[in-house]
Amino acid sequence: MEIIFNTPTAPKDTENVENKQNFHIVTPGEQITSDPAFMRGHGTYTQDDVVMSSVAGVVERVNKLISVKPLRTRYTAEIGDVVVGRITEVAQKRWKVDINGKQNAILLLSSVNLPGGVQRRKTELDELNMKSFFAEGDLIGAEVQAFFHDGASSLHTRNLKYGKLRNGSLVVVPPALVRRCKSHFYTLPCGVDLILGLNGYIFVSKHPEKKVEELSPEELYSDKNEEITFYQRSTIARVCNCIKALAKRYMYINDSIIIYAYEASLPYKISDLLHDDICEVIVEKAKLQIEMQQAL
Amino acid sequence: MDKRRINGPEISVKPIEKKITQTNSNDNEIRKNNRSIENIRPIFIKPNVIKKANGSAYYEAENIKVICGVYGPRSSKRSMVSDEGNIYCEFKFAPFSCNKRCGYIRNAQEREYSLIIQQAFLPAIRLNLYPKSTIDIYITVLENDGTTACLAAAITCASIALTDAGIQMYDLVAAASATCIKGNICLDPDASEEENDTNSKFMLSYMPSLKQITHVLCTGKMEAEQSIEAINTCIDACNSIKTVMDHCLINSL
Repeated sequence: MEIIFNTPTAPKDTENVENKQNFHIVTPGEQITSDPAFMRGHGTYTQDDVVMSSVAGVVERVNKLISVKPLRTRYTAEIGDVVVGRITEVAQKRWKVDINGKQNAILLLSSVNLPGGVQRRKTELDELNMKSFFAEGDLIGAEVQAFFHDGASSLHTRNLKYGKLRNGSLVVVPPALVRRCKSHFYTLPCGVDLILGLNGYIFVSKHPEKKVEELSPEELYSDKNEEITFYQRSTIARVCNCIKALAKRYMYINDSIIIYAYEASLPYKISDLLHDDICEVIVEKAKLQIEMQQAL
Repeated sequence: MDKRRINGPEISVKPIEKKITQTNSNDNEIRKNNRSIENIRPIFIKPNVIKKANGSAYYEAENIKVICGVYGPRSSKRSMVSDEGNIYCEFKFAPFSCNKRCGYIRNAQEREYSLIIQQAFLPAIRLNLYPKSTIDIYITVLENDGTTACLAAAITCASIALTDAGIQMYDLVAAASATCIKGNICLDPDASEEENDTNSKFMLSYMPSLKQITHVLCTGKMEAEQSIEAINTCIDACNSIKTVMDHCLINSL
């Protein structure tokens, strides 16, 4: 086995960093404020008019609302979010989908587009054939439509953008790193498609030859990968590793930073991209480019 | 005998252990390990050690080594209709952790300890925020030096792991153990002090900021005054453990 040594780095001076950036970091049970004028937000609770933290993280203050944001937590869904999920169970008229949340999300049979027209009535036959649309283990792209009374989220795939995912690879990053943007579907200049799920699941796939509208219904729900050339495979792998490298350095993830990271990664071998040193170089380069663009 | 695993040879020889001969200058000392009665072993905690878990922590205090992984909150396997989430805990001594080799399957003591840990965390976690979901806590003791102290270590370690997972809690839970030797309350007993069965054992888990006790475990004979004294000394110990926990959490962020 090959052994790679990292260049030595100085230990982080945590106390200094805290003072400089003026973060307010709290641990569970720590008092944040006793001023009754403040409202409690996520990650806090009140006890005798004192706002206390219930997670370990950074205190965020928006006017009178105090919330604590933990670094690593599960995804909390919001209506309109684009998510990528994995089917875990096929139940009566519904699919259970793992979206990295506190509970499994639910995809109702009535909120998917079935082959043969958007306005088609759902028949009993469709209910019996549910497994042929989405089976356990399939990856889907979907949107959060509503919430049930118990907090579980309801998804829908009533758009040709959404639906079964194939011809690609899944990358899992902390959900906090994916920012909300105008669009979550991208085609990168290097010829791969990208779905940035807000739940931290990112799907990188080959750019389809046919447009979605031209696909036959059988192809829409197909399990089989199309032919993917070696070049396409390596591009997908490189993009995946770039995303992993960004996540490793706790860098936020959107389309432009992935493009810059991809460009910065080109001199290196794909398998080397995840070594700490190379990670740092790529992420720093991408960061610099973003800053340059913002300055323009 | 478990046929599916690779078992050791039937005839085995115990390795010759180097006997640590502690030269006790004066026998008047209550403890034999050069600690004062109110002294706990130095603690090292590191969160986020298991990549695949949602939260994890490693705890070390001299010869006690505990690792804990937290998975969840995730959807309950059994679909129960409940407004609150539930906690599932699995406490296990690694086969190589104790002086006597223990099995792969959890024995009665480990199962009892799992329940105790579960109970110790019930008042601390905001379960009303996690309906229909389960939080799974898996604790493995890698090295055992005092079973009661291990239980206390497991609770402290699990508390850090839960915080690392971003689970909402009212407060951190710290735990301390004590024993009664010759009428004196000694904190954080090690294996040699526990061997003597006449010593009673005491374990307390405590939420330091809220000043609430979540669980008390007392086995063996103990006078009422002694137990009150034990509670007070353990609470003091928990407060000092809490500062260690806070420090480690802030450094990890």
